[in-house]
Amino acid sequence: MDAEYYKLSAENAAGLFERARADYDVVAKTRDANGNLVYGRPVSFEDVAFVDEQPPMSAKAFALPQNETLVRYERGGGEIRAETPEAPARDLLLFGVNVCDAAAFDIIDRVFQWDYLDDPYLARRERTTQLALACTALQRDCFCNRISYAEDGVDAVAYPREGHYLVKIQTDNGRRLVERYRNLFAEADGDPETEITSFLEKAGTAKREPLLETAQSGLAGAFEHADWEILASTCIGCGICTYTCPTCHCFDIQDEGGYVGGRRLRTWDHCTGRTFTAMPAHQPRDRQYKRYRQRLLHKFWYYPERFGPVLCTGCGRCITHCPVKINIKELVEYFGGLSDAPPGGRRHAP
Amino acid sequence: MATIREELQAAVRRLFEDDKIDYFLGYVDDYGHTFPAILTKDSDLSGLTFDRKSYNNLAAFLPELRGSRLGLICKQCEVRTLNVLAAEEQLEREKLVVVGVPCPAMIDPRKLSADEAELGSDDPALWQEKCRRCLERNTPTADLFVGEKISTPTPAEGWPLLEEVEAKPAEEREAWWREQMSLCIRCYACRLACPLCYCHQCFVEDNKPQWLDKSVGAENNLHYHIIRAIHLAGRCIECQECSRVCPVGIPVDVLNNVLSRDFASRFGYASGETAETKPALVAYERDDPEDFIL
Repeated sequence: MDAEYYKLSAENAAGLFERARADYDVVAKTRDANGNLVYGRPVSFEDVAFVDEQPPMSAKAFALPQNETLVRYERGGGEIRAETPEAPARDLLLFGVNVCDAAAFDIIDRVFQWDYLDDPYLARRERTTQLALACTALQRDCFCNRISYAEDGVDAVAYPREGHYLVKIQTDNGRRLVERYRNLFAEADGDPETEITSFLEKAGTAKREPLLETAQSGLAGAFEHADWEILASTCIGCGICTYTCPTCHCFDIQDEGGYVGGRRLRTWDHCTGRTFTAMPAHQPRDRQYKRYRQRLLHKFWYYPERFGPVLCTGCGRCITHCPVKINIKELVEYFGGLSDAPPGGRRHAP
Repeated sequence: MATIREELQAAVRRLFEDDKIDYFLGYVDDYGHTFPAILTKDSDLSGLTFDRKSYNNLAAFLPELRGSRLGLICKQCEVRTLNVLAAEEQLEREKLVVVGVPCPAMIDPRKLSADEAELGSDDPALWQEKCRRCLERNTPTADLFVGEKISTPTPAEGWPLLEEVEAKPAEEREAWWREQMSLCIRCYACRLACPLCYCHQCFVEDNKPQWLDKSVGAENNLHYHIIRAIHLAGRCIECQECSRVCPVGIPVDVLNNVLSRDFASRFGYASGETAETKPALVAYERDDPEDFIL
């Protein structure tokens, strides 16, 4: 569809939140018990945090929960009863989430409907509407300006202006949201696309030198590069980068329970962990740097080769929260041949 | 006068030139962060530094580099860790060159604003809690020392957060812990950043028998954290890395601190205080209190 543009006054944004809560399960930025920013379910508009800062955990859990029961069984009275959990009962509205978080869904949708249709994931996605909020400034670790992913897949993006939001509707799903609350939205005046361009320039989020087009061919020749070992050897193999990542989607299937009852569930899993590819007799990724390399190359080489977009939205969480501050952007530039200087000046013995 | 950065780089260059070490384990700064790096004789050393964001406990990388001749920066966190590792016979001390530094105390990353103005302040309120109770700022076991020694003592505080948690009535405290535990995503960064969690296989990874379900939830998460705390009883040196690395902000070290404080108050014991300090659960003294025996 062609994009549509509307104005949403600050007052009506509050009205939209209140009214949407009756129709949707509304998720927005809020604070947890420790005062940390999270995506949660604020009960009033006052509890919604309108900040550029990202919560440590992305919004992916609302389509791909960390634990998800696939089938539950119970034995008794001479029979076994098994049931699959029902699809979500309510539509979900991601209200004011970061654009990088909203954009991730469109990227990972491709893998969940590639050959096998992943019903639980797709059922949630079908009921999800995104109203993303554009950031006013690029932050220290993020680099969405270097990622050429299609934000076009985001249902609606709100750009904060003086006293109102300029809302760009990009999908039918977004249009349905506006139609539902039509009296809260006014037609945008002027030239909204030019206004958005200058907003992005000012925020520093306008696109420049996309990492994919420029680095992919270099990465394809860098698998055996000697510097992986020295640059990725400080990786401690925790799951922070993958668990906080809006696009990492690998999972494991586990059984819990026993003779009388239990469940089969899927749980997030991560390629940076040492058990991920471990088999009884062999561990093909036997060193930590190989596991880190897998994560980077999957995102910037294998995934775009197969599905088109890079498996990254440039949110920078994997840098901010990394215990050893490994910087994926710097490493993509280095191994992709865009930069001669390895981050931190480290080089391997020749 | 040379800055600590220049002195450090010169010292490390000499270690490589004199062929004293194969690797140097230190911190470099780049893209707005200070982070651990493993450097070789061919590395560009211009990023090498030691500042108030040199958070990582570098001893956590020792298993990865076992067998090599290694130089490493040791602030008091590493000093105490090496002492415990030596007592547990996990250390090849003769292969290490311990580079001592004056520790300016680390600024709590959660108190850093975007412009990092806090880095220039000497207000202990901005420090990580561990630094406020640290008693030694100048690497007593250094093989070589760079920089100028700091003579200002720290506030020598106890465990303020632990005391705050303990002051809660039992029910409220349980609810607080349940809340904290429900945040945990079991990335195991606390375990992996810990220099004393060096088991080759952790109980959480066992699957025959499987001690712990893979699914997250307050109960499972608490199970993991309590077992980890108990495995560190009398060993934890309070470097607070577990809490610092936690992406969801759980003050994991409070659990360890309960045990550390008990060892301190009942046995006058501090883990890793000297190289001769035996691990508390291994050491035995004839006059140890036995009032718990019925």
